Order: sequence, then structure tokens, then C-alpha cells
Amino acid sequence: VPLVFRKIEKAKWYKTSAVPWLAPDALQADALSDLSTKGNKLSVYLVEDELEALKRLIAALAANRDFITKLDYALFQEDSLSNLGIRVVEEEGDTPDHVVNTWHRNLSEITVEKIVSLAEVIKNSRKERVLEKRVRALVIHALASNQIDSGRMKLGAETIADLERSVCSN
Amino acid sequence: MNTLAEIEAAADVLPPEQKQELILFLATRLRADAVRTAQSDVAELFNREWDELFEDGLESEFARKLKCVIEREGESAIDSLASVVSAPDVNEGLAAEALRVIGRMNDPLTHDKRLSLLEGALFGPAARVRDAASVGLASLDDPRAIPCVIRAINDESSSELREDMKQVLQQLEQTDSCLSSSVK
Repeated sequence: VPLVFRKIEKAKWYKTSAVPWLAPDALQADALSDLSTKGNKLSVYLVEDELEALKRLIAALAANRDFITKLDYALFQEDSLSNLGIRVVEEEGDTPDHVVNTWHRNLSEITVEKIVSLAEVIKNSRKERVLEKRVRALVIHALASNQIDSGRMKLGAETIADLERSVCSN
Repeated sequence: MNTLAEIEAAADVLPPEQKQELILFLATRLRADAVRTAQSDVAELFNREWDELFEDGLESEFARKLKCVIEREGESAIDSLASVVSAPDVNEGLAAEALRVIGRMNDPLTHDKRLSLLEGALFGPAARVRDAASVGLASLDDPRAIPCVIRAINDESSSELREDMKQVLQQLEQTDSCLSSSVK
């Protein structure tokens, strides 16, 4: 069963043990900023083979940023989307990895009510963090195995040169 | 004496002990000026309205400006940042972004100061700021932070944050063992 992957910032999803003013079972409003839509669409990725696919996806997303840093994400069952009546549309992603791009989906025709329901799903889902050093290692691996097109990376020139040096020395 | 040339000429004829005292006096004043400038630059950054959302991997305008201040003012800027970040009414979002930024910076001159600011912030009142401090320490990747991270894990009330800190600890321990084996 494929899992739905959504980039988040874990600290915005902390529960009451970390945020004393928060009522039990409530969510911080800042969590909604991790679900901001464009044209009433929300970008997610579907991952089938959890471990290898996740590594590849993380590398592709990391290469699409200004600089390498940690990456937080939530993973939840795909059937949660159909349970919420959310329309899932296949639309190619814009990462430097053409395979990862085929895993991209847009959650379409999203309403405020659906976003709030989705936030509830994410609240109870698995949330993970990959630290900067590991992210860097995954990007180097993806570059070395030609998963990523270095010409399409959005990272700064200095970072790309540094990564390419690491690929050569490995 | 009104001109620099006159002051220099007067300083020139001073006995050596008094010249030394003059140098110490000037150095103290210069340091005080630098601290004042850094304090006002950092305070200005935190008092401004920022209508940007901070997102992992995207360079914010706030981050760019903070880095400029640190590169310009050096350790004084880190000292000023430490007092702003630990203030009870600090904007948590800005404080968290600042801690992530100083962890990522590659500036050997301020490395130790940044390390101790991040270590101290692990024990702050806001979970979001403690989290950002641990992320900053992971970016800095300096194993000297290990004892502090262990203490923070033991003190941490949030199980979610504790798990994230354990991940940071694991990374720092790996770095430590790599460094130790490369020394041997």
C-alpha cells in the first residue's frame, strides 16, 4: 500500500507535552502553514517501497532547495485521502530526479474543511526527521548513481561544487 | 588638542607605561562601541516585522541579514543574539530561525561562541527554540556538545523532542568516533 509523503516542520506539530498552553489533543495553528495550498492544491508524493523510495525522494527534494538542511516529513496511508474525499491528481513534480517526479501528486479542490481534516490525519501520523549530514550523504549518493540531474539542482553553485567533489572522492 | 595628528604627537611623548594604558583605554572603548553596534543591529532585526514564512532549505531575508551582522560584528553579535534569544518575550519563530542559521554558518572566528549559544538554548522555555538549538548543533556537528545534549535529553519533557535530540546525539557520537579514529 503506498504511503503519502508530505514535507512538514516537526516543531509545528508538537503536542501539549512540548507546548504547555496547548489543550490535550489540540494542534498549534502554525501547523497549518505546512499545509498551505496554491490554487487550492497541495503537493504530496506517493512512496511504494518505503526505505529506498524515501531515500531517493529526500535526496531529490533536498537538491531542489537553496541549501542542504534537515528535512522533516509526515507519512500516512493513502486511503486516508479517499476517506476524506480528497481528489488525488497525477501531476509531474519538478525535482531534478525524473523518477521521483512521477511519484508526485496534487491533492486538488482542497477546501478549508479538508485541510483541517488532513491536519488531523497528519497529527496522528508518523513524523520523521533526516538531519542535514544524512541529507547531504543521500544527495551525494543520488548524484553518484545518476538519479539526480546535477544541471537541474537548485542548490547554490558552491554547494553543488562541494557535492560533486565528494562524489568524485567516493 | 583637536586633531588626530596632535593626539598622536602627544601620545608619542608619553612614557611607555602610559602608552600601554592608553592602548588599553582605546581597546576597551573600541570593544564597547562594537558591542553597542552589535546590540542595536541584532535588536533591529528582531524588532522588525517580517512577513515571510521560514521554510527549511529556503534562504530567508532574515537569515541573510543576520549572517551579514555576524560576519561584520563577529563574537559581539553572537553575545547580543544570546541575550535576545533568551529573553522571555522573544518571537519564537525568529529565535528558532536564528539558531538554525548560526548552526549552518561556516565562520571559524565565531564557532565557539555559536556552539555555546546553541548549547544554552537547548534549555530554553520554548520547545520550538530548543528544537532549533538541537538542529543547529547537528549542523555545527561539533562533538564537544555531547555532554550538553545528553543533559538536555534527560531534562526534556516532550517525548517527541527527546527523540529528535537523541538523533542529534547519535550523529555527534558518530562524528566523535570518526574524528578519534582519524587521529589514531
